[in-house]
Amino acid sequence: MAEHSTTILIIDIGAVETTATLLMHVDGRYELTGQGVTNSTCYAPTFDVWHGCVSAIGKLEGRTQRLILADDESVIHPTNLRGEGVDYVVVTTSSGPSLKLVAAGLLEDVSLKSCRRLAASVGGRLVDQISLTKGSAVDAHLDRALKTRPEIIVLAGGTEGGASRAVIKTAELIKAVCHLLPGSKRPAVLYAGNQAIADQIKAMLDGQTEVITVANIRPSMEKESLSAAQYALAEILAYIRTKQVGGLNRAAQNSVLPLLPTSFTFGRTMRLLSTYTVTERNPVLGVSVESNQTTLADAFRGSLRLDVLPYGTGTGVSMLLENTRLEEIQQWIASDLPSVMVRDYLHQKALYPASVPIDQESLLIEQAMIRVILQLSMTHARQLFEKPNNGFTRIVAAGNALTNGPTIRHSLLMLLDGIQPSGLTQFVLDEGQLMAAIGAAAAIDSAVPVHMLASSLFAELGTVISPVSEEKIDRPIVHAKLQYQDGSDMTFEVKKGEIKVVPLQPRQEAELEITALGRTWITENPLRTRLITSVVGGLCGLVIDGRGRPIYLPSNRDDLLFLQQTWRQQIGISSQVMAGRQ
Amino acid sequence: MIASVTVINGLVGFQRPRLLPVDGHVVAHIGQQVMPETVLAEAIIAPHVEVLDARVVFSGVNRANMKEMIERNVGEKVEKGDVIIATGGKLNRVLRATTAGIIRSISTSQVLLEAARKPFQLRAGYTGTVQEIIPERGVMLRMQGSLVQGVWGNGHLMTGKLISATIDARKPLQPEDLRGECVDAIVLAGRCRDADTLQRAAMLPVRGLIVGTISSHLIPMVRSLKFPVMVVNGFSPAGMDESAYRLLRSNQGRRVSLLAQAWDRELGIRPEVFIPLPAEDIRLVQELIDYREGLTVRINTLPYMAQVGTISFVHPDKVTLPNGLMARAADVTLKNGQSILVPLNNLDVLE
Repeated sequence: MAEHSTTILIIDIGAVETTATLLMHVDGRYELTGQGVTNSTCYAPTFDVWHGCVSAIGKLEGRTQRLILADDESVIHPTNLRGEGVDYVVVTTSSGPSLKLVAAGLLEDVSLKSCRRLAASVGGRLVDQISLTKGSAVDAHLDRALKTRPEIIVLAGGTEGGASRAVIKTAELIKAVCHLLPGSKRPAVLYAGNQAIADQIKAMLDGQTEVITVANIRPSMEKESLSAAQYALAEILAYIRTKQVGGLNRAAQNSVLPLLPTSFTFGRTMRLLSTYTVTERNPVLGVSVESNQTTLADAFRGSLRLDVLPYGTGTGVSMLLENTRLEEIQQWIASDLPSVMVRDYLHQKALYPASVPIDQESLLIEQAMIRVILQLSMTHARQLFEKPNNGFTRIVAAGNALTNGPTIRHSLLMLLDGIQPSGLTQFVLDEGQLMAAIGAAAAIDSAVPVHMLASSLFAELGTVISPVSEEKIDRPIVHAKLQYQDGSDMTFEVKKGEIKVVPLQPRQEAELEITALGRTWITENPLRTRLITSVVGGLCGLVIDGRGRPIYLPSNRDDLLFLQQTWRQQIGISSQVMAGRQ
Repeated sequence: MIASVTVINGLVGFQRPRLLPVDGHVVAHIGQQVMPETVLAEAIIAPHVEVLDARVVFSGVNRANMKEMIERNVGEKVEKGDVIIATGGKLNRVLRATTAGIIRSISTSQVLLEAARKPFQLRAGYTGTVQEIIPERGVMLRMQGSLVQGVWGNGHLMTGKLISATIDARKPLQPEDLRGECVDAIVLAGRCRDADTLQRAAMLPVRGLIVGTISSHLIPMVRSLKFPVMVVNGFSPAGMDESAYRLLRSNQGRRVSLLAQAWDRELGIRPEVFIPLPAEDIRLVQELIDYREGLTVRINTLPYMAQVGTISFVHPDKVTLPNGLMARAADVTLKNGQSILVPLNNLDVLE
């Protein structure tokens, strides 16, 4: 009998696609054995996501020549003596409607703020915010609860050893909400406040609804601690989904671990990645643009800030259109398309969320839309977490629309335009959509992320240097010298408004000496005017984005189009349609 | 790969859920023959709760005596001014209902009174038979007749006589096309591109409007109209696909049900036009179809929006599109003989 290798099957059920990923422990390392991808089946005519799971696993079986499904279409696990099945199955999902959530706390700038951040980590739609200390009317909250039928109430407030009476008063209001709603429609309560009264709160609400207590998200005025509550909320969300989405319960029954949201496991991978780069001064950022949501996972030395937004390239288009003006999207289209055509296209995309742009014009609209999704999401995250700048050591991009463009240069330009990072950033594309799967499998074996993130499964686009500059257009803003390992060097200047691409092969290292000129800084730190550092190349080489932050877009349409075309050429996007990715 | 299916069929049997937006009370029964106006279920959509402060009344009262002072029960209906709590004695203190409604909860600190509200009534929308009761939410109906499914609707339902205002599926509807015969009718047209036409339709008034495509800048206006507007193909200047247009025109003069409800993929509800027809042994709509050669399909996106053709080949793997993207796709032969490559996700199989 052959030596047994541990196998982990990760099933991700998305709004548009369902992916089955098989990892195998080979020669002391986890490796990707194969993937099967198919359309999700959460909607008509099947209303059964397990149908899509079976189809995706079937494709995986075909690719790996490994039998995984039993006759009754359940996953064989653990692996049997014939080598059929897998050892572990984990399931993640991003399907289903957005969660309706109420945030209840005491102080607006303390516990309520933390509640909002917690809600953002699951993409919850806040249907009400309760702060009785503000003197808001109780009956108004009851009316809203009856009308909106929240699924979860997050109750926080009171630091450790702090306020308790006001929290209990808020719990009484929640009890009244539960009284008014029929048993099966009562919201679950996640209590994450003053632990001194946790038992009292639980006793008050037990019998009315399910109450989960976790560590205080605001143990002191200065400290915020979301991780335990994030995990609990993610589990509750997934549990609620099993009751809403057909077939998800069956998928969960096949999983050896509790079902978790895809965004949560994506965030987990980014958090782990941030612990591998503890010497860095800036966080790592994971960004995943999906059909129905966008996830931003900003992690720094093991601490994660997760923001899941309702903007997406499919069903999420409607929310995007509600929160932005058409002109914001149109200004990023590198072609003179009439606004009526752009608006029509976007509304049609919301009707057919899985549709694929067929021609060049449609592609340009979609890519402009992605830029605005990124911008809106970044703005939201910056405000939510009060981030001072957009400096990131590494940006990992996921989601088909973002990672599977015609060329990787399209992807890089979208990321630069949308995120507008400052300083030195390495860009990576998760073309196989593995980040969330790695995070899910990490709960089985912590070696999975260590092995997988060090593998060559990700497209390393290279390092981008984005100086901040107040210089005028066409004025030189940086002078740089790149010393290659073979002893050769290259000296160059970058002008304001220019994107410069310097050859540097993937994983090739070089020494970069860069000096800011005039009113320019290498990062958003005004003291940083000169930098000597090692840089790593990538599929796009070494890129210096000299457009400044924020990127200035002229109001004149002709000038704007010229700029868009120029930037595309400078980064290496041919004006001709490219066949196949390169 | 399971196909996206749109029904455009002259004679077909099908089932549809009719559901309240929130939990309520179902009044229909299994086997009941229903007309579009039949009420199936009722619910209070926007309830209002009044919180009455009981502490003022109970102030100074021994907790053990409080129970005797409560004169009404939870779940009981009250009128405005009715006494809910009375302490009795010389200094009788009372708590009265501030509005007519139902008592939802009584405690020593507060009384929750849900104000009486006129219930929302869920109507059948179709002529058919109740097949199943979905407790607290609604029913499953069974129908047979002609059916044309759309992609977008403004939320209204109506029945009326179908009148075609244009003779071309691609021609825009103009205000002058809305003649006297369109008054109180459900009007069919290829496309709508301006607000003047909608204003004219509202002034006549028409009972409803069915268009192939509409300009998306009209969405806010269409949402504010009091009559149903259903869009068959979507947002573009393309007009209506020939299959839908031909079927609908052939039913001119008939009484149709227009359900311009929003497309809700989670509930499986789409906007649709239904024309009930008496017949026996009608085959049920087949909705579980894989993309395969020979199927009639409709393209839902630019640059071939609303064009109908036949699948000539389904590519087994992803192929590169003219813009460089890769997708699962099929070769589709259009009515004019042209063969084009279309991603499967952009196709609806016409059933």
